[in-house]
Amino acid sequence: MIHVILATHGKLAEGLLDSARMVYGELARTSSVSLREEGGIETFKQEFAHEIELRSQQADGILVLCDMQSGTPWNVACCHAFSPDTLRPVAVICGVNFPMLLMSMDYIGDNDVFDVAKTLVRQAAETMCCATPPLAQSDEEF
Amino acid sequence: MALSFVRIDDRVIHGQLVTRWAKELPCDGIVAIDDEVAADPLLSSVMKGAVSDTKVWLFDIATAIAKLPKVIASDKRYFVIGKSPVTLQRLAQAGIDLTNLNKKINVGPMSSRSNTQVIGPNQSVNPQEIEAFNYLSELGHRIEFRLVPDSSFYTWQDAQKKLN
Repeated sequence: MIHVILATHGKLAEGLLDSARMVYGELARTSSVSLREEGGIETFKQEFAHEIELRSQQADGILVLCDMQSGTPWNVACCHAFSPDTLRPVAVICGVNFPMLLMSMDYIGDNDVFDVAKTLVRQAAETMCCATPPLAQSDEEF
Repeated sequence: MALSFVRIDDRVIHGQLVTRWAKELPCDGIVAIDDEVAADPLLSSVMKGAVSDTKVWLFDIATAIAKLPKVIASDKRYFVIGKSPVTLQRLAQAGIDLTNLNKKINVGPMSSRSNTQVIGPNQSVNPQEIEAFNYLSELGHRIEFRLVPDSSFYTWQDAQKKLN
């Protein structure tokens, strides 16, 4: 089993969870940590470390979904991911969007968090597309 | 029996969510039924575009009653999605058999509106819909409120206990 942590600037993470509740219901094994103006980097670091420690107790791996590469949430998450002292494997990906978050629910039961990370990045890339009118189809063939 | 899944969803076709159900159950095409959407060619074409790799038909209730026997007689496996329980009630009253491989009627989002009571997350019913659920339930259909395949669910019997 993996655990998903959303790590973003401002209220994006909470907003994504709120949106997910609307179309999906409560997301299992998913939580968020937000970098806030008032708390700043130090508070974020502490909250993120606490969250990783807490969730590692009941997961084979932690998947961190960040909003953007090399932002503070990403930097902090990578420090955990690359540290030899990390309790459980931590995989970090960036560019989180709504479909990616929903798709992550397909892999909650998996064990290899790095495999899940690679699959999700590939699938989420396909969710960005341009709208095109559908092709006409015959109405009679069932 | 060619129906593999029967669902009530007030968004009629919702791309990513339909795709999730199609991973769990065989789906050669989707028959979506709503008078309002079917009467609006622009909205119909937008909704058909939501599911790019699957055939989609959008029918009003009268057309659905005429075409569904052909759909049910097919060797292929089809999803039927109605906008509301009242849509499915009309089909059943016209003699359409909603029995399907999933062995139940699945219910997705039913937004809150004036005159509705909340029975679950993003699920609310008005008196006409309550009557329609009772009708479908009395026909022997199991009715399960579940947004996505692996989310928690409750039945119409559970929902009835929450109604005033």
